[in-house]
Amino acid sequence: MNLASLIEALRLLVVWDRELAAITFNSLHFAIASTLIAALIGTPIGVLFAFREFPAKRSVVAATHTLMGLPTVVVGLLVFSLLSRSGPLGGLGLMFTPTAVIIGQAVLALPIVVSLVYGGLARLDPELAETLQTLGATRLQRSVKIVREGRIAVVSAILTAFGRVVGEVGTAMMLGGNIRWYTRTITTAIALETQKGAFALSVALGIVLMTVAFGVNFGLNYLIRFRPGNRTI
Amino acid sequence: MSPAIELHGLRFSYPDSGNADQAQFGDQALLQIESLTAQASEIMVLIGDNGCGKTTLLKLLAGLLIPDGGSVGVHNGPALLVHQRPYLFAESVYANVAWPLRIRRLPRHDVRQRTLAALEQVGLEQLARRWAPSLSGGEKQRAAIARALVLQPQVLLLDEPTSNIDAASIAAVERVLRWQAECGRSVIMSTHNLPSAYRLADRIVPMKEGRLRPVAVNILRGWTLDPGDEHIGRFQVSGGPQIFCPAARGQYTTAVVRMDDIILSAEATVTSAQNRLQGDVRAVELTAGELARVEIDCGCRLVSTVTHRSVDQLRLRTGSRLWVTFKASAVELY
Repeated sequence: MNLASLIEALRLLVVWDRELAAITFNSLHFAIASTLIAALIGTPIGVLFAFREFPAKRSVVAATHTLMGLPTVVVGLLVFSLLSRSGPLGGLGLMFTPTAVIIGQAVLALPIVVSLVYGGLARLDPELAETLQTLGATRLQRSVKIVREGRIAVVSAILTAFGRVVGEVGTAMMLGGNIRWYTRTITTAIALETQKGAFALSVALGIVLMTVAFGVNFGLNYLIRFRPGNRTI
Repeated sequence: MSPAIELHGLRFSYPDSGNADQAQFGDQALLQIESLTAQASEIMVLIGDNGCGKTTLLKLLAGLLIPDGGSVGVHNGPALLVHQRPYLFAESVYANVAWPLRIRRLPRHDVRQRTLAALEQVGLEQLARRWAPSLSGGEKQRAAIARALVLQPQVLLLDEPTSNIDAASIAAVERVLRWQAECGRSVIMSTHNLPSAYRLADRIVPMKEGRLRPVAVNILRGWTLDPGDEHIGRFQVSGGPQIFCPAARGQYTTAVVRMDDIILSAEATVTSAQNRLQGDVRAVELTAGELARVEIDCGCRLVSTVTHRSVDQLRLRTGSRLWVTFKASAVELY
């Protein structure tokens, strides 16, 4: 890398290059969609883990926690084997589409959401559940209220999951195939462009990715430090 | 009038006492109650040491725990429990109190009216807009009571409502509970705070190791008379006699005399005890063990615990006439 490519990277950022924008859009699109799916499925499961007893709960919770460390390429491999032409869902023709990437990233994000939502809600006052029950709330009303009371934990969990998927390269590469204008994301583009020796776009994309990652972390810190619950005496 | 709560042959044990709270019951981890009923307009106070099962009993009455055996019958709608350290939602006091009505989709106007009325009853109308988690312990307790009152429950259950809160809040809570009883609701609460229990209770229910125990005190309602310069005070039992008590300034509404501080005699003997009343035996109950409970009507109802031997020696039976003696210093005012 030399000074020229750094200057070129800054130029790309300043003029907000069309390809740079498209790649950034893809990355955010896939990460936001997959995080949303994981949040919609994972939050209720986290609530369930925190407030319901069921057989082998401890093992299930431990397993979920372990899955947080799932290697991205393993998820890629797993989803690949399902979606590839010869796989059980091969007929859907989803391989190397944005949908495939979103599915892979959602699988990656799900255990993170479940585990962190569970961890946060389990720390809520145990009397919350009884209070909701004695006040005559239905099961749905109780769950909604619990998520509201634990909203900091839930939002943190979702942001953490987003941070993980927006920066991952394994599933995006294996399931999306890094197709230009279609499934190319910041991370797959950096991997490719760097190998090609075209540093300028890589550096520009790296700066964008860092900005996003730092932004998410800043938001997380802000939430944790200034959460309304801390206003208690 | 049919009872508000009826409980028969209740048995309960925690499934797996890995919990320190529950381990206190010992090996059997058991709550066992033959029968207990609470009437409308009655304030029943459960007293007893930590871990004697008060909270568990309240949770069973509230339907938060399912008994292993026996029946818990609550008439006229569910019984609402206010926890010892109530959980308030992370929102305004108003929103907390309004929540039970909102989830029932009541019209906005009704929600507002009932919420404000409940807040006023507990004296928190000024704090309606405050962030609930920032309230003091006493204010939290009152807000939680208001949150239960908006539903107008016929049975209100409270776990230690007057523990660890400031004096002003204790007074406010006691006022609310008394008012609820006057409105025909039954109130069942547990407490460590004996003065509060004696002031409020229509009935005291002592508990020990998961069992109900017989009451050991006489509770007399009335008012203190101005002692003037005297070293000894007088207490007018409402609808009954005046009794001597320790001199005390201020307003007291309750005199408490332990049952085993009351001496029974066939004749009016001269002793140093100031209180000497004549009365008729209304009932003699020979309880298991050595003791008998003798109920005497001497203008007010008093119960004395004596040994079985004394029952024989004094030939105590319903209708016997005898003298009741107790020291002024045996009377506690609340």
